[in-house]
Amino acid sequence: MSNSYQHNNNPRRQQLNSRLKHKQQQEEEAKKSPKTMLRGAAAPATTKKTATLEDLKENLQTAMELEHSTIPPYLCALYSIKEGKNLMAAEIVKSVVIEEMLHMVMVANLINSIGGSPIIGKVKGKPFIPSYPTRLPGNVDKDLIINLTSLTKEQVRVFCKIEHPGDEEREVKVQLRVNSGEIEYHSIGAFYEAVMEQIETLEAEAQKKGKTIFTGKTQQVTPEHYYGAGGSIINVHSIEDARAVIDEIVDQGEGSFGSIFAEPYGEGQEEYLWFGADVEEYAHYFRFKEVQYGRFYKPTDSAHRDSPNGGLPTGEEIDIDWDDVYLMNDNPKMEDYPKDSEVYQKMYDFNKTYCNLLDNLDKGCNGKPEVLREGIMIMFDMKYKAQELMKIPGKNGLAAGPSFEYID
Amino acid sequence: MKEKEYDVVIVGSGISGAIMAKTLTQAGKSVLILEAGLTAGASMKSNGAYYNYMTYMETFFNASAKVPNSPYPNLKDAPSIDVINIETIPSPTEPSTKGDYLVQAGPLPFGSDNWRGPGGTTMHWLGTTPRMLPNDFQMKTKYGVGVDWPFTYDDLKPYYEMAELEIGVSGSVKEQKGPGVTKNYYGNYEFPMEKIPQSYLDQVFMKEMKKGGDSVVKLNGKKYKIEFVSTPQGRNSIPCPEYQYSDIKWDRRRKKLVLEKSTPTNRYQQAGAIWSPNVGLRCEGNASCVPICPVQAKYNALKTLRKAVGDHLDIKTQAVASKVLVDKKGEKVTGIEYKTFDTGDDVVYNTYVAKGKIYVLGASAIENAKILLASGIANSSDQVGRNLMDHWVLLTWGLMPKKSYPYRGPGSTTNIPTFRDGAFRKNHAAWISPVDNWGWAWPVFSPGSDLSNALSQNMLGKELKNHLNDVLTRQVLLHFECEQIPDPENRVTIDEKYKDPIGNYRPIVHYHTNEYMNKSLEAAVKVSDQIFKEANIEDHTSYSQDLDPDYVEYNGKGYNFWGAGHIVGTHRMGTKPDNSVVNPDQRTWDHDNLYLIGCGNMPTLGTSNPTLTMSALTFKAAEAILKHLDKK
Amino acid sequence: MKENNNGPEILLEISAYLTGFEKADLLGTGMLDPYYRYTVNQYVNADDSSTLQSFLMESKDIVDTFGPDEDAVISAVKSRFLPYSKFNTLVTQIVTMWYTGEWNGNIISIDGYTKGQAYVQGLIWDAAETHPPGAKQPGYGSWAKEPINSKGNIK
Ligand SMILES: Cc1cc2nc3c(=O)[nH]c(=O)nc-3n(C[C@H](O)[C@H](O)[C@H](O)COP(=O)(O)OP(=O)(O)OC[C@H]3O[C@@H](n4cnc5c(N)ncnc54)[C@H](O)[C@@H]3O)c2cc1C
Ligand code: SF4
Repeated sequence: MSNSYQHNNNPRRQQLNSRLKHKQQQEEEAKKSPKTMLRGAAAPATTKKTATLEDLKENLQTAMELEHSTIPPYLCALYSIKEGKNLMAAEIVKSVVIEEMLHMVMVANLINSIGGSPIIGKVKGKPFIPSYPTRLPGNVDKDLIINLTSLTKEQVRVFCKIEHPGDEEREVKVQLRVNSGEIEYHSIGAFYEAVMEQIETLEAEAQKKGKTIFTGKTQQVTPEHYYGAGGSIINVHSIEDARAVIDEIVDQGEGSFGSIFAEPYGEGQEEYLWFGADVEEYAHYFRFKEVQYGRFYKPTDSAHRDSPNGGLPTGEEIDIDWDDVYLMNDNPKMEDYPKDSEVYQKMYDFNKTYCNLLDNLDKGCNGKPEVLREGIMIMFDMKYKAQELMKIPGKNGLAAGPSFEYID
Repeated sequence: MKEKEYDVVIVGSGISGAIMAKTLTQAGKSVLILEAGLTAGASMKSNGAYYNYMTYMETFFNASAKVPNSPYPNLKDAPSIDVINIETIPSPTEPSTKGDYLVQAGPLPFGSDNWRGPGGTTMHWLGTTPRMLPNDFQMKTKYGVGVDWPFTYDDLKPYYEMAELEIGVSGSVKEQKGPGVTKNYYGNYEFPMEKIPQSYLDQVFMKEMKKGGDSVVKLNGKKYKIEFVSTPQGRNSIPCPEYQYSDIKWDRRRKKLVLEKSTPTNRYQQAGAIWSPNVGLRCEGNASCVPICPVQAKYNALKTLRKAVGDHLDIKTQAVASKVLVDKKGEKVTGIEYKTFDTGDDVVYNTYVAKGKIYVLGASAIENAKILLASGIANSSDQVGRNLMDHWVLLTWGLMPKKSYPYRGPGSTTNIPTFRDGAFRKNHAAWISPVDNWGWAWPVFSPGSDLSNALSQNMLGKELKNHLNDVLTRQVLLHFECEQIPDPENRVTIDEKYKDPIGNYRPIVHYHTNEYMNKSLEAAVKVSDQIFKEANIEDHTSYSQDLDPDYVEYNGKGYNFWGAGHIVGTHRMGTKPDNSVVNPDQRTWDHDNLYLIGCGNMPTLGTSNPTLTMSALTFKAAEAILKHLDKK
Repeated sequence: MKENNNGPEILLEISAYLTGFEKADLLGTGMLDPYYRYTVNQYVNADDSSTLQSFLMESKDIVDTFGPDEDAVISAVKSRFLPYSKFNTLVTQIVTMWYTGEWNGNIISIDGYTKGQAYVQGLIWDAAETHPPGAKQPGYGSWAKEPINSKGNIK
């Protein structure tokens, strides 16, 4: 039997997915615990009426930039791990990055499905690659500053926050465009849920006129072109497909358990038990927790903060040696080095490769998915260039590091 | 406590044992596998499997000679045959005993090895999977050499399709051509995955050949057109949308193994790495398939083993089968004696007996024969251990006129099928010619040797780097994998004198050349010369005893050949108890409840790498065993 | 060059000339420090324990005198070190170390460093415009095209 078959039919996974579908239930849960900011909790009732298709396209573009913005910091962490060391930590971080890219590409599919054109790489006016240190695009959390740096305990803590802004009960927002105005949302999950509502409303209106918003003819990216992620890429041609994309993203990211924390912990409640051999994957937040604490979750661990394990992993140990990491300069820039230096040249080569990759993704997500084959090669090449920069000394006795800057 | 009696006891977890175990357990039978290798290697848990595999990788990186067995543990208690031990045989009376296991009586050393551990030799195989040609099954009838198989290509065809599904073959049916490849050869069929892209080097080779002329070579007065085709192989590429099948099932009512048709909800899914289904879904071009694929994009038998039904399967690792026990009449097999050890190097062991209704040996050709000889059974035909075969790989190498960028991609992506069949087989062997993607690494240890040569010429700095760049990017290597014909004196024997550390027999191999094989080497070089000339390749081939101990002289010229890793023969299948060890169901003629699987059953070799054919045979044997069990 | 006894830096400098690679390429392997330590260890117990130090001193002298003219440095190395000087072996060993990660035929293994990195970081694969078999894989289908990494390509 195929793995993906097993995966998709995993009862626990379905449980996770089905949470998203019971919106009503979630809203009730939300009411119970007003302190915690929750998905959907802040959705103003006006959204549904005023959003236009153009708003939706812009929101999806923001979503794509959101997914992208985490990739450079995750990659820095990944490539800072010394070759052949911290193997499991590297696998975990890698799996998250691959899924972030998957999300980006799936949002691009979604944009294509409604007749839009995703823009990756060069965006008019605002930079597609954030200048690090940065906040998350869409203003998700003003207090969360993200640096490009090596894999350190501190950085993993930041990653947990990125993946679960609701943690530690901070106030978070995502800005959603509605009729050229903006509404703030307080978690990524909530943002996506509101986007989904816009899709539903717009599609319902279109259906009334015997039409659909899923009119895009552009060839989308298929599993043939993008593989290796937990979860397979979804092509969007209907409202169900759109829902599946949003579910998949929110499920793998932070969203789906926000509501779970709102419920009081109850001994032996099945829905907190997400871990174990038969669960191929769980949300990024938990995977980073595993790295942070150097342990896997085990099947009897609960995700709930008030459970005996405190929502923390207590399973098999993961060998992590925080010293087996190359330390790079935080947020390096090419301009830190003279133009004629070898270090500058290496940084330039890296950035060139990164930009080539973005251009490639842009083409791939705009009707030419077959070019993504080359994208994979560029991705590998970029990795080896980054790994070099993790070893080439730069300022402050630290490695120069990859700077992820835009080069024309 | 009484030992559990299984439906079937299998020796070995290589591809033959794994296919058997998977097929039987999925049909509801209880199975025990006895596996000589270390427990860690059989781990199916993602963490255990990953960490273990990464230790293989580290061992590989650190090995100074990156031979096929270099990543994998070699145990004192269950040593592996290893090509690193191959040397010129000291004298006719003094065999080579280098290494812990194989004893080489010569006069020529046997040039191939295997690995004894979970997953077996597929851990370091290349994964090339052409089928045999129809005429290969009728060598005696068509060409008067060797023997015929007890059935035809068409009889085996459905099982080939099963083997291609199991291994996960990537290839292009429509591109297959050459002698014997007719419309019906594959029929209306696609491989599970698209062809592995042919290398840049292949493309340069083909272009240069076209530029050079009409691609026609002459051999013994006859003309042959050189053709290039993409090679089917067991490594992951893009799943083929037209592929018709999804799985293999035992149809209890019809008493047949059948291929299930693909449906939109149940499609073929290629197998990723043991530790993660998301890793290795495409070949990533690591270019280290032999000895180890870092991402397990290449098929290995653990992938099949993982599909066996867990609660129907027990795997006893660190358990070396030493003897097959039979009843007093010498007819029925009553158990398999095996020795277990703790660490692999402690030379302390315990002996047990495994019990089943049916017994299957899948320990690879040399080991299967050795176990039978050690048990003194199944040999009324006197064929056990005889007709040991391998492909004799004659290598020729040179420099392309322009950069072709070798050392990239899978070992080989293109082959020349021109000499796979023809009337010449009456006089000399047929061969297949894979184009090698890995430079001159095999015969002369490039690129290290290119560096030391350049340094000995005092090259340094940019001059050195330029020189290496110029040479290493133009290296080309061509194989001529010649079909060895069965010869009863090429054989495995045992002798009280030679035992391994835990008292099991070390196999002794007797191996020699003959006129038929010598002629093939001569013919292959003649063809190579013409190909190199047409493609403008500067020939750098040179043979000697020092280069490789498999060296023969013929008509005043010397030739080297290398082992292909294809250990075949030793317990041939045939039509009658007096000419063969097993019947067409691969059941021993002498013992009703003993089956043999693996390349040892193959009566002749053909020009294809043997594992696909052997896997097809193993499905056939599994079907026979299921019928056998259901009768009772 | 700042200090007289800055061993790793001198090794880096002379290695760049000897191998034909940029210093940043050598640094990018991450092997300078371990290789320096390894080389010192190889010579620490030898009868000629002064060999390495005098080699480095002479190397520095050559580089200071003839650098950055590559040809001049190499011809000075050749006339002073090759083929009959006592440094002949050392020069070969150093170049081989960078190119294949080997020392007298064995992959260099250094405490605290991942086993096998010496092999993985070998520059010979860059010179051949490829990657070490089993590491730094370039991705599906890459072998059907010209290599995209041009580090080994001589400009
Ligand atoms: C370098 C190389 C490249 C190759 N490339 C190709 C190729 O491209 N295409 C192709 O078709 N073929 C290739 N082959 C051949 C292929 O690998 C073998 O034909 C195939 O793996 C044999 O499978 P098997 O199951 O019969 O035996 P093996 O894979 O050898 O498995 C035997 C199993 O039995 C176990 N065992 C052995 N003795 C005992 C014992 N006494 N007790 C208990 N267990 C025992 C072993 O540990 C092992 O698990 C290659 C071989 C080599 C060496
Ligand atoms: S080329 Fe690399 S990825 Fe592909 S099968 Fe070989 S080792 Fe595996």
